[in-house]
This record gives sequence, structure tokens and C-alpha cells, in this order.
Amino acid sequence: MNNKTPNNPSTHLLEAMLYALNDPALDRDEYEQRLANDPVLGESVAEAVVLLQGIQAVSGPHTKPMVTIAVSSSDQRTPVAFWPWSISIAASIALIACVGWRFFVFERNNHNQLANVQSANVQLANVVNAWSDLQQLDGLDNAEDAKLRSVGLESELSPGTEEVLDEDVPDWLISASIATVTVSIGEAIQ
Amino acid sequence: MSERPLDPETVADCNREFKGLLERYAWAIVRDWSLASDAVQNCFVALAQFGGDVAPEARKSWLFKVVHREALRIRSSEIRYKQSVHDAGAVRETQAIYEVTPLESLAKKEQIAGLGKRIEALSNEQQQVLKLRIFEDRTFAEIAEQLQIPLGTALSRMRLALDRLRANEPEEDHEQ
Repeated sequence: MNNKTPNNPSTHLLEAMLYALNDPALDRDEYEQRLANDPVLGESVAEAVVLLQGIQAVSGPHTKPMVTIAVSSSDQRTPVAFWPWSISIAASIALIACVGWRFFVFERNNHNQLANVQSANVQLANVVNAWSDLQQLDGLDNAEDAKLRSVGLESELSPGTEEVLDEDVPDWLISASIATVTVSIGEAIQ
Repeated sequence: MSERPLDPETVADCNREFKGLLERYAWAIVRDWSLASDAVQNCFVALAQFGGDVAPEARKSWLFKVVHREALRIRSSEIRYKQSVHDAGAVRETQAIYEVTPLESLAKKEQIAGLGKRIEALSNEQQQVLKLRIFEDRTFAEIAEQLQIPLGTALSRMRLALDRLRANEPEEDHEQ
């Protein structure tokens, strides 16, 4: 197609579409010379690009690009900063460590408490048996029996039997996690 | 060229009215939305600095001419830059991410649906040419060869298709 084409909007739009599509059927250099002197042609080009955009939109976002981009600014692309990602990963690891630590301590406490209760039961049974034997031998009355039993229990039971192990996530780990997550969120917002 | 600055309000009005149109025009020249945006931005800077003496009825033409010149300048600069990068052996990134076309101005679903209906209303021959050219990125010469028709016929089908597609084109919204 050349500059002898009829001067009507229909032809203008076809030429503009050929230009927008970068089709070799149009002499691109010659057309650009005409564009420089005729803004009406420029409007046709803009209209052709609008139609191309619309047709692409109709075709959906997953279709192949309708035109090949000849020139791109890919080489001017700003590189993605590395450290925000590393902070995010560190924050995730810290959170996982907190949860894992808590779970581990919880399980260990349960296990220790169960062992202590079992141990206390055994000791209690031994004490009761021993006092039953004493009562039979000495003939103590019920009041004295109860008093002695309580005293005996206090002395027999080990000091840590009813102690609940209060090992939890260390403060430094919580603080580090919170600080890291806060920084990470702040960077993500920025 | 005039050297009297244009008042900011008028520049802003021109920006609202013509920016979308000019960006699409610039895109057709540089074939990159980021560069097209740069060209249009430079154009409005020039309008603000030197557009004071441009008659209001001539502003649109003036803007098209400036964008045209600016887009060509940016394209030449980009080609030289890429050539230098290529000569230096630098690794180029994929450009696929930049092939996503911004559709802010035409993203209204009603318009897109309307265009879809108009495409469906095209004749089979016109749809065929449209599909091969736009969706499959064949040149018209290839299409003509594939369909065993003259090149002029393929172009004529495309012209008729475009006429019908824009026949009911709603008034363009320049605001993006």
C-alpha cells in the first residue's frame, strides 16, 4: 500500500491497522512520513490501536499476544531488591520455629506431668499401705490416722511432683520474630 | 515553534482529553507502552513550556506532531541502546512481561462485550482473516497464501471487518 491509496476513513483505518500490526504489506517508513504531516492519520492509528486492544480483550487474557512487540524497555527494567524477600523468608522460619518450639514444650510438659502423677500415685499407695499396717499394729484412732496420713503425704511426695513445667518459647525468639515480621510487613507495604 | 508557556490548567485539560489517544498513537510507533508513555509525557512537557501561542483549534494537531517526533526519537534511541547492549554481550531479559497491553481505557466490560458481539456478526471470511492476522499473528501475505486468495482480497476483508467493528464504536473515553 502506498500514498496513492484513496483518501477515505475506511482506507485510513486499514492502513493504520497495518501500521499498528507492523505488517509488511505497508511501507512503514513511507507511512511514517505521511504521519508526520497529517495528524488525521495519527488519529486513525490511535483508533486502530483501540480496536486492537478491544479485540485482544475479547479474546481473553490468556491468549497469545496479538502483535509482536518489536522494541521493549526490558533492559531498563529495575532489578527487584533481594533483601525484602530474604527478610520474609527469615520471618517465616522464625514463626515456624516458634510454633514448633511451643508444640515440643507442650508435649514434653504433658509427658513429665503424666510421669509425675504416676510416680505420686505409686508413692501414695505405698504410704497408705504403710499407714494401714501401722494402724493395724498400733491401733490409732481415725483423727490421728488422718493427720498422720496428711503429714506423711507431704513428706513423702517429692517437691517437684505437682510443679508444672513452665518452659515456653523464649522471649528473645518471640521478640526477634515480631521484629522481623514487622519489618517485613513494613517493607511489603512500601 | 512558539516559546510562550501554556497555563497549567489548559495543559491539564489537554492531558485529560488527548493522553489516551496520544499514547496509543505513540505505541504504534515505538511498540512499547512504557516508551509510549514517555513520549506522551515529553509531549505535554513541551506543551506546557512552548504551547502558549498554539491556537486552541490547532492543539490536537500540534500534539500529534510533537508525539510523532518524540516517539521516533525515543525509538531511535532505544534501538541504539539495544544495539550497544547486544554488542556488549549483555544478557537480555524476556520481554514477555511487557507484552501485556494495558486496557484501562477499554476495560469496560460492556464495551468489550459489544465488540465481541460485533466480531461474531462478521462474515466467516472476515472472521477468518481477523483471526489469522490478529490472533495468530500471520502477515497478510501469509494469509493470502494460506487461503489461496489475492493479497488485495485479504486486505479488503480486513478493511470491511474493521469498518463493521468500528461502526458501533462508542464514543471513546480518553480518561485512563
